[in-house]
Amino acid sequence: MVSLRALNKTFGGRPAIRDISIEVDRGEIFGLLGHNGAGKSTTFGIMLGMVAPDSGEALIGGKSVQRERAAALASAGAIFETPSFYDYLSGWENLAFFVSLSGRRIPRRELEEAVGRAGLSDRIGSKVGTYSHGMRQRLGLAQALVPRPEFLLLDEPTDGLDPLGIREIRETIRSFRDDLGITVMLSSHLLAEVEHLCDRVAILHQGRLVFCGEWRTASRRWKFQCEPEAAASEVLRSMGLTECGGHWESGPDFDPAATVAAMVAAGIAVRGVTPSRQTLEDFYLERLGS
Amino acid sequence: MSVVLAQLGGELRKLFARKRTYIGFAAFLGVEIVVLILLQLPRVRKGLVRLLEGAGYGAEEYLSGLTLGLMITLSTVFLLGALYLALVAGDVVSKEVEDGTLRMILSRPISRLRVLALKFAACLVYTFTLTVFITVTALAAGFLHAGGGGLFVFAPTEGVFAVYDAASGWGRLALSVPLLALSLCTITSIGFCFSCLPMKPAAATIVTLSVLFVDTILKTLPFFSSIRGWFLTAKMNAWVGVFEYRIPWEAMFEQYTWLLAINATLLVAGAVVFHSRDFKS
Repeated sequence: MVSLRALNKTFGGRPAIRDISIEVDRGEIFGLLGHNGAGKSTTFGIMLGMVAPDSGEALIGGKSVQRERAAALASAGAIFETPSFYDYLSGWENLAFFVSLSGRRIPRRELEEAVGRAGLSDRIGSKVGTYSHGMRQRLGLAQALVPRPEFLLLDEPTDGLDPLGIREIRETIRSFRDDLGITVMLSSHLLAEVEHLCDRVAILHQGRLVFCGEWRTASRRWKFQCEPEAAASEVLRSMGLTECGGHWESGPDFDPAATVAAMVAAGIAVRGVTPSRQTLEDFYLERLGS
Repeated sequence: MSVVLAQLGGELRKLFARKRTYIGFAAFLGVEIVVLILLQLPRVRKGLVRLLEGAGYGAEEYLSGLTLGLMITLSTVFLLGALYLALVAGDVVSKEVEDGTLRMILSRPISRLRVLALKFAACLVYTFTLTVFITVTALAAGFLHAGGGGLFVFAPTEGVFAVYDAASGWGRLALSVPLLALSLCTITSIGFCFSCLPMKPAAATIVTLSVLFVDTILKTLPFFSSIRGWFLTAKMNAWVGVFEYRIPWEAMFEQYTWLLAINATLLVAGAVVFHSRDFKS
């Protein structure tokens, strides 16, 4: 659905992103993570054609944003961390304006449906200047849903929301995929939220991609139940694993089957080998070397 | 076509829904009343009467609503017009960049060129609306004060001294409005061009006004009198030509061709810079 190919961008001689390549599959909720200044906004900017890459290209639905921007973005919607609207216009007028830029006539019914889905039906006639942050976020969701996108890009969608608002937005995002079949790519500093929503994530650090894939299965921590333990520890160390708080950390080329075979050959009884569960926060910080 | 009209309608709604857009209208009303009062001061009125009677025309007939309306327009339009057109045109892109709404716009499948074209079209509508408003309210103020009669035109810097009966006066005045609006479009183009550059809205407005003020000052310096016709504000005064007895169509056409070329150059320059800019939070 989305393909970022070897993206590079420099601002004033300072590289913002370096050689970023990411594939997002149709129907998935994909997380883009990184500290402030890691390159997330630049990546999103390139995906929406707001930032021109020095090299590489972004494709949405197989169409290049750099070469055929209008066609590529015709199937995409976006929400920013602080959606900006015209405070002196009503929610409906804002919505009608942004939707008119999509290049085709949208039936009123479709707008009303999006407003209803965003839970704004009661206040859509009020001036946006009177909206709370959460309501602005919902209006942002509504405008991104019209015309019906195949791909949604959400930049910090839960930023500044209270816990209830965060949960509502999370459920809404999940319903985009489950009910509407929309592919979602999101960035957030709230790793617990990303953990709830995303199976696959990409982690950026200082403009470089340090991880991209299924973070749960990429865990490199293992728990071994063996006897005798001392002999098992010796074998594991000899195979390049390091002990860390009751777990064993492996390198990227670790082969569990070969390790078990080596231990059995050394006369060790192996009762179990399980990847230990990690939170996304642990995984993220580990990848950043923090 | 209907999509483009809907998009233009959206731009106009945005423009005319802002209170700031109406500051210009309100200010013009205020200034028109002040100028009207000043024109009634005995010393000023005596000077006008002397001027007319010296040329053999009756002051009663020609110090009319038409004359006062034109005088008010002539004395206010470039000073205040520059201010409010620079304010609106200088704001139109840069304010959206500053507020973050441009990011919302650019996340839509619309080309940057179309975005600029819509915004400039909305600015043109504003320019023509403001011009019509200025003329109509100036005439209304003049008529309320002096009633009907002929038209007396005295524009010394443009070398125009003419009198017309009421019917011809109306005709000339009607012809002057679109030409005045065309002249004012140059201010709009300058403001719009600066608005496309990476600068704050206030800076775009101030730079636009600076260009016009510097041009006006240089134009009035005696050592530049031989090239006076080449200054921007001199070309913008071409509309006054419609009040000459024999309208200098050829000279006016030349001046407006220059203005159009300048406007087009400014728009292209603004569009090129805007197109090459990165917009990131």
